[in-house]
Amino acid sequence: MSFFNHRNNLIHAVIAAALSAINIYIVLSLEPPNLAQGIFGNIFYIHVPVAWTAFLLYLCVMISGILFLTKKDKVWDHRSLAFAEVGTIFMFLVLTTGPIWAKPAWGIFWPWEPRLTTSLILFLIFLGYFMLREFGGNPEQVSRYAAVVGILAFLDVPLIFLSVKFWLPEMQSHPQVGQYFDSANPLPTYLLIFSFLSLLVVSSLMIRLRTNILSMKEAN
Amino acid sequence: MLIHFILKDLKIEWRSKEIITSMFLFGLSITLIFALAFQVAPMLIRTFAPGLLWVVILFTSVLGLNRLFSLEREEHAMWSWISAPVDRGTVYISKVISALFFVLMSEILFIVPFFIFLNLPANFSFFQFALILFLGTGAIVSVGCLISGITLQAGLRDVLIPILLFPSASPVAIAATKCTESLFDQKPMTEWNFWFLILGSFFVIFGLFGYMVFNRIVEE
Amino acid sequence: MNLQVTNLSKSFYHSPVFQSFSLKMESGEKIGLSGPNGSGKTTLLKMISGIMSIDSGKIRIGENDVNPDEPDPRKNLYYLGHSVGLYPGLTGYENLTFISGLYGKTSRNISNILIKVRLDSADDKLVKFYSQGMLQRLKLASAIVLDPDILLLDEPLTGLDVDGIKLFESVIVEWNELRKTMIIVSHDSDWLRTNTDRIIELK
Repeated sequence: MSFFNHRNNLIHAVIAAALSAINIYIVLSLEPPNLAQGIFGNIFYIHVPVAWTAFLLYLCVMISGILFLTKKDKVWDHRSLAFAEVGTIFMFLVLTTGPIWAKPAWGIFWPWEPRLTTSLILFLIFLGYFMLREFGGNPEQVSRYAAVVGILAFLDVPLIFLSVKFWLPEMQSHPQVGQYFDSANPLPTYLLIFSFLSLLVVSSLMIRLRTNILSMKEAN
Repeated sequence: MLIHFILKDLKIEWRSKEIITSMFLFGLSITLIFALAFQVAPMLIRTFAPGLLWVVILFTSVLGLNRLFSLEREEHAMWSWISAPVDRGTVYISKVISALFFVLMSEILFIVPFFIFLNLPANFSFFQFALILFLGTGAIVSVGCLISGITLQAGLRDVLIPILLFPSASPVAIAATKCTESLFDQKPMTEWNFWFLILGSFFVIFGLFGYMVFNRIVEE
Repeated sequence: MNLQVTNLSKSFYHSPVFQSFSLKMESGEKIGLSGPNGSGKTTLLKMISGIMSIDSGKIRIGENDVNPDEPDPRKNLYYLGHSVGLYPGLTGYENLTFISGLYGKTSRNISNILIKVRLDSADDKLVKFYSQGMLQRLKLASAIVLDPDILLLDEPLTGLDVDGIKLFESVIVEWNELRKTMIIVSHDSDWLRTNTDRIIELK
């Protein structure tokens, strides 16, 4: 692939692979806080940073959508689509790691917990976004429509979160989160940050690759 | 100019009575299905009734929005105002007002059968109920008109409207159900004014957003 | 009123229809637009009228640039297109009242104009029951009601009978005397040669 023929892109890919390998090794080898949950307890170190990354990418969809509508530069549309695709992959991971963690932690696969529910709703909006991209008609028109839907989706996030949060007050955010944090031990915090940064490196590689593919397709 | 557009929609509907009739009959049919499917102990239905009511309103709104915007699609009638010296955001606001009127009219018609078929008591403030219906419906149509405008010239638009609308309007579904539930339980308004605020915020945020972007989505 | 198009570009499904297209029209000039199907004649008129967005370039009417956020420049322009562009659920009279309201021309005597285009007997008939010829006359009536400085006419003779064509040609003569700027699309090159100042062939 011509993208990886460029030295910087290759270095980016190697760093992303290395950080991911270290991340997975840490998650698999670290002792979980609650032995009853087994190895699934450490999914927390994947689930939470993946969720942060997914929301950050969806925020980028909104920002690039605004820039596309104002500047009318096709590059922003390509970036918007790349952010949406990668963000949706990450959001899918949130929705799969969530139940995997929830079952041993809470005894049920799907707790209607605010952040998980907000993630599900946002994921569904973006599935609609991709249907619009596919079946919306003339690609030039569809780019504008998609930009508006991308902005609409993220504008909705605070309202979705607030309404779900107070909808089932008994189902508050991650009650077992506290077990991971101890003021005397900063390791969980560092691990979360490391995991998040490594996911940013991975997602930025995916976005650059995808934007490159879209720009080349447009040029052809 | 706003009145001009609203009167045009009202005049067409007055002649055909297509939108309100189809929404009313559709709402009645769904109510019948719910009554048959949930024919259990009356107290249980009373618990579900607020949620069922807003499901009916959401489904009938989709039908109404589809028909309202189809008026613009037929014979490319919308070209008359797209090429005119008219602020297209004003057209969006006029559609929100027209849609709100039509959906409220159909709600007035199927609310009575809804209460009768589900054997619900009506011992609450009708004024507060009207307020909830007004704000909840307004919130649905504010985002609904934006989505209908986006899908106006899209393929698969009949499918795309509910796919995009239902997850986007989930805060409305939650907040409106909570308001209605509290009203049916005869709780004072001070206990549920948070949900009212959610509905109002949704209406304002998406109303403003729709006004700002409508001119970019109606062009071919 | 002058009309100027500068470096206009537009693509459909990633295929360019216009690339850096430019056009300059003086006030009162009449241009014929011809070309094979798919050459972009209707697209050009739609872009000038604001129905269709442009990818890049500029369209200027008089002293003002046309863009979707500024509706004012469009008040001196009218697009008479292929498609009906009218509400089937309204009568001819109601459609004209609606359109004239959009342009702020509410003082126009719509009844007289309907008589002029010989639609007075059908003014309370819903547009969905109009024949093709009647629709074309009603669209012509819209153009007369609005009395714009710039007219974009897309195959205006389609569906008109012999009387309708004569009516339309008489209206064009009146517009010519009023020095209106016109772009007329037609597949009839002979007609364009007789009724316009110059012809632009799109490929």
